[in-house]
Amino acid sequence: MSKSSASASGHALWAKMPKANAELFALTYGSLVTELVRDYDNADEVNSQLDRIGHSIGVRCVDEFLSKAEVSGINIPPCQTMKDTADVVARIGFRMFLGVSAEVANFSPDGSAFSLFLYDNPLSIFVELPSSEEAAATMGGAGGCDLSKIKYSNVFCGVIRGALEQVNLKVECRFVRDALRGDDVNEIRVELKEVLMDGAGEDYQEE
Amino acid sequence: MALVSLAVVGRDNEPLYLRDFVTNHPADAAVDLRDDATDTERQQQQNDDDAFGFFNSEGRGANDSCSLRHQFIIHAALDRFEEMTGSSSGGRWRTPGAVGNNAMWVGLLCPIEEVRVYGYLTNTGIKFLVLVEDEDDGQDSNQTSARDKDLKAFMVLLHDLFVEYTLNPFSKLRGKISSNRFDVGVQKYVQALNAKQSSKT
Repeated sequence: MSKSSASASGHALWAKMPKANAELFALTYGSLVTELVRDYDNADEVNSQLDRIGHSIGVRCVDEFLSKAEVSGINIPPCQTMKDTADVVARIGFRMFLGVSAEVANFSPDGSAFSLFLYDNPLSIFVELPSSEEAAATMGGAGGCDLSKIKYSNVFCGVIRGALEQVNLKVECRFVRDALRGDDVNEIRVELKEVLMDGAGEDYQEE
Repeated sequence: MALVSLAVVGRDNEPLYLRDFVTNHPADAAVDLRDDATDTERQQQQNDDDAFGFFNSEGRGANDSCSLRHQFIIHAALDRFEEMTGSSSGGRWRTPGAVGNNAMWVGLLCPIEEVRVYGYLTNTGIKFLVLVEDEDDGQDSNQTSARDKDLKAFMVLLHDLFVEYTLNPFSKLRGKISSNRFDVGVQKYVQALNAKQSSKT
């Protein structure tokens, strides 16, 4: 798909989605993260929980995405390369569900990995991560959670992973740069691990 | 006229944020005591005053950099604040029919020594107190009301910053305000206010 038509499709699909109040959305997500922080004592555990939550969202999102596109008459052709997938995820997927446009760049030489750049993140509009000294001070030395290590928007990684898993692409996603930690953009690195074969095919063959 | 100190006080009169802004020279913008700038003059002055180590700002952030004297003044002003806005006063301080930010503005609380204290009360019981240094005595009413308007606008901005701070999911709901974003925002607004005031007078 050409870049401009992908953006236009994303925009058209976004227009058809029901909208929610941005502040309510951000605050709800914030309370989810603080609840996780209360439940789990260490930052890595919180990050992996966020990834798990994102995974179950992604698994459900992809069907909605493809069916809504179908109904609106927007044709999303099957992706031939990872580059097509990247464009679809960033320009149409993120646009449709979040209303923000994401850019893709930094493709690896064999085309199996790419970086997704998010310039504004609707989840973190009010958020300020406590600095590591503050986190240490509040939690004392009793093995508390180091809040400055939390990947606040890790749910995005899970969503991408879950969604692409449903279309037989096993990927690994992680945050490379995070605006909340002081970088200028949010960068998610997506790497293709393997293309899964259809499970049903194997069963048939064995019989 | 310069804003020298500001305080954010909670519903039970617990201090949430106390901060001083010192002007060395009338023409300069306000700087706060916490600055690690290598201003040798200022260090000298601080060391001279600092017999008991109250001004030692190494272990502190911008919050808590308020000098003891200003803290005493704020305490005294709080009493007056309570008197004006408490249940016994019956809301007499409020201009009838005022809504929103106008309703929250309390105004001049009291003059103490060479500063005047202004107050602002939010609907949730959070109080903002601002200490303003008085330089001229014979001010006409125009200047005073212009100054009041500026202060009111400043309090509204401060309120916005405070709201933004509470919307951060990681901020503690009760307790000292420790947020870089809040500190930087306050610094910016105070500098703008002081610059405006010094350019007028």
